[in-house]
Amino acid sequence: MIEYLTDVFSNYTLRTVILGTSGLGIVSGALGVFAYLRKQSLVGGVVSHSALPGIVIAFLVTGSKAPSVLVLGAAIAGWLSMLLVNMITRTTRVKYDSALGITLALFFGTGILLLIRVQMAGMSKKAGLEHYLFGMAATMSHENVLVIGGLGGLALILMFVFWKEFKVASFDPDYTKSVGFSVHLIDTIITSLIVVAIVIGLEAVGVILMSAMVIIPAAAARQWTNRLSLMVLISAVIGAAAGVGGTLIGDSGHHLATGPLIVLTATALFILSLFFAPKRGMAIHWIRQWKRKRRMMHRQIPALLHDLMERTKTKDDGWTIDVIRGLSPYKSGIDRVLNHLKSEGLVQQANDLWFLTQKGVEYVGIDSKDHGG
Amino acid sequence: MGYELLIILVASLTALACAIPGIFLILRGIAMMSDALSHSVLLGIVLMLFIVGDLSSPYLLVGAGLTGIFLVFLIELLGKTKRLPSDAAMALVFPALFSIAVFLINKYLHNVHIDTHMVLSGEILYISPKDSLILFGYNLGPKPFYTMLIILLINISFIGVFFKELKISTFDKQLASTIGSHPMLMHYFLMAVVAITAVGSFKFVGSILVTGLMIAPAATAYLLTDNLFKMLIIASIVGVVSAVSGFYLADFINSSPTGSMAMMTGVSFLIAYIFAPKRGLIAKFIGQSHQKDALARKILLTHLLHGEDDQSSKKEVLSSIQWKERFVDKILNGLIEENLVKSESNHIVLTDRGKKLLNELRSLSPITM
Amino acid sequence: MPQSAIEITSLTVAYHEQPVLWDINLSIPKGVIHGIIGPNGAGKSTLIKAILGIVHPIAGQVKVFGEEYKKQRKRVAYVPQRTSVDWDFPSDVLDIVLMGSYGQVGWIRRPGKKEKKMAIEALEKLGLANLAHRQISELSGGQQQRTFLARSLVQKPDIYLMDEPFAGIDAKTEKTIISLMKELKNQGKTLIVVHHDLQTVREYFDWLTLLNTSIIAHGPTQEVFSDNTIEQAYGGQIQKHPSLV
Repeated sequence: MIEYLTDVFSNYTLRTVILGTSGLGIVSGALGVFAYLRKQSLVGGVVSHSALPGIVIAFLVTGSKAPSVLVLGAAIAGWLSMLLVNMITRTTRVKYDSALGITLALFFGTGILLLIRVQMAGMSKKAGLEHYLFGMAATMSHENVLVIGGLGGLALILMFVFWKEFKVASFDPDYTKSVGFSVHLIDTIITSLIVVAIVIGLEAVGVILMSAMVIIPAAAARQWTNRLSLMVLISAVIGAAAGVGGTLIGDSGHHLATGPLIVLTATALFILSLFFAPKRGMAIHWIRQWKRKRRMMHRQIPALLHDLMERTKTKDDGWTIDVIRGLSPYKSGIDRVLNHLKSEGLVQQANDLWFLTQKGVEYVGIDSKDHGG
Repeated sequence: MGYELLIILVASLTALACAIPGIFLILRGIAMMSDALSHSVLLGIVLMLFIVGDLSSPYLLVGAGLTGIFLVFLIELLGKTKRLPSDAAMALVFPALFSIAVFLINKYLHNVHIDTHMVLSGEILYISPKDSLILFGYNLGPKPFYTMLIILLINISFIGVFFKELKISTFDKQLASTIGSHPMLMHYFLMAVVAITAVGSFKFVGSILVTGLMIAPAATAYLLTDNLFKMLIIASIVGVVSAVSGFYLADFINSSPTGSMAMMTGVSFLIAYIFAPKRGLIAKFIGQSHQKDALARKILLTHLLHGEDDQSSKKEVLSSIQWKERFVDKILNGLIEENLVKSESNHIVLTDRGKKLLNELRSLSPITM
Repeated sequence: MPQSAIEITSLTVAYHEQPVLWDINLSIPKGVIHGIIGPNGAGKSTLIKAILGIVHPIAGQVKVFGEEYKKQRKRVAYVPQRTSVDWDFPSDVLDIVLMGSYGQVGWIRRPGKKEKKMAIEALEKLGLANLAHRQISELSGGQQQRTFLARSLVQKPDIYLMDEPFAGIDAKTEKTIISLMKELKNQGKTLIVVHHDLQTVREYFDWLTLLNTSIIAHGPTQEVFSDNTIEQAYGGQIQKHPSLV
């Protein structure tokens, strides 16, 4: 293990890649929170797919595959796609998610058309553009890391600067307008920053899957906290962890595109969060539910036996578990509760029949007084 | 059958098969479900490939269909936890399933003839006329043609049988449940049809074109007509035209036919978006200013009511109604032309005709001030 | 005549060329609790939003204390419908109430100690002090409404515009809110309240507007709230204006 770690840190290329993927994870995790909270989770997919023609055109125009050039092309295309979606929804009756789908098909179709054209012309080997589909972290260079650090850092700084505005406009846009902020301007800034967060990750994660990186960490982080600032922080950490995890797994094998690995790492972290987060986690929720049910049964079964006793006016009759189950609103776990009641001395068992003890009768009396009958 | 003709036929059948469920997806506001479905079916194909080991096996379709259902189920399940909004549930599940599929291909199927590009662009170029359906010793022609034909027939019969139910459950869910046609059941039927179509089309045209063919032609038709039946016809035509023109464009510039077809679906929409007779940008721009003028005349006429003796000065009008002077002049001229008001020494006075019309208006909208 | 709090002239608002508000002329006096009632879709919320400049009219104007809304913004507070936001937003009560200071603080700057003190005072005023750090997703309907009211108190406005503050809340909160409203009125504030419960109209409002796309009746409640005007506002369908000329 230690050997592995020293290996990772002494390997210059791998170190560069990890710096890059953790950086993109932090930026997309943090800014993704706002896409998530504004119910714009599907926007990421459109922006990232739509970046493809921008990348290919940037390459065709400049002949360069420098990360800064391609990222710029990607950002312009991604941003234009958002503009088109907004225009379609504002000026026609076509619904928002149809507009997303149309824009996706138009931009990504164009991107594939151009990409295959470049491949056919034999220019692609040189450009390595196909890595942009599913991501290839291993090809990240020093310059990539600079682009991620520079643009991503700038995006994060702007997020801090406009923190208050982002928060209030995401929660209550009408109110925000009423106190004098331009919600349109705030929306534009948020969308632009999300576009930046997406395009800087395209080389490592790919256009197909980068959208997941603005949603999955945010959805996971939401489970851990109820505070916006902490949610952004946790989402950034989860994003970084997914980036690094995916890279290291990808490094261990051949032919592995890193995009799917990074997304799967993020998904695993989401599932963990969904089940095991304190307070909101499903595990704690189920345990609480189960405990509540057992508490209810604990009260309800002695009451039921008491009721039967009253009706038959005999002290010695017992009832089989089937009778009790038939009369109880709860059908499962009855034997366990009966045994527990027995250990507390509230019920007794003879052969297959269950009785209420004297203590049990008192318990029912107290309980019904406590709960107003 | 010629190679080119075969590709065009298969692409057109796919376009038709996609247009039908697409209409209902866009009307119900769940268009992106097609994107999610077309991505996740890859997992089913890959998993089945592990079991049967044959890329042309019909079981691949079954596997893909099952993942489609699994996807819908997972999204619903996540929604039920109430731990995240429904759009996030969808945006999260399908990349995860898709990632598993791509990972499996990368890791274990590198030598098999399936690569990640196929996912995007489909295999339409690799369709071989020699891959024929042979029944009872008769060669009936290429298999892909029959696959898509069958899916198209399934879709047409689905629409044929449930047209009324689909229509009601799409436009008025409450009415649908009160008259006893189950909207939830229709939803699942529709999702199943979308899944089958996505699965069948996926292999030939890839995930992106499935999304394009389902959403864009339907949305294009939505801009052109209000009639559901006409919408189906128009979407079908737009789909086929996009597919065919896309094919020739790709052929011409020597590139991916599916990418080009997907682009053309978007281009078709853009053309309708700009030029559609009633809802296009141009028509809207002209029509809106007509409607705006009509509304403005009505506003101005009503406004004159507040002036004493049914007359006001232009200055008063300008100060309270807050329009630009040029616009007020334009609207006033319109009213004067229609002989509803006249201008008398700097005052605007209602004519008898104007008064009559206003009285009609007043009876329609009680203004007691 | 004393200057009115809000003066609306010839206001018409349309969505897709269909009038939602038609030729509204309205003068709301200072220092009253003013109710706006009318059937669903009558344009009540739109009227409030038009006053606040959230929706743009195609004709007419709104004056707040004799000036444009933009110039008097700091004297006005908006209390939106409780159901218009997603309460599963990751924030606590204090966070939301603090938003009341954002307009005063302006772009980029953060609220400081002074604003925080104001927020806590507002919380105390509405009996929410012990809920300051409660998650907003865990609030009852009444607590949500009081949170929004506390936020508006932080703004220290002269005019309150409230959209359905009594919808879906418990009787106790309703009492708290109405007594707060009366207290604010006694301080000379003006309260404009969209309301849906006809039973309480006489009890709550000094002035009243009955609205159904256009104004049906407007004036002191005793004068305008009658079976006749109610029938006019609620009786028929919502007014649709025929396209003309």
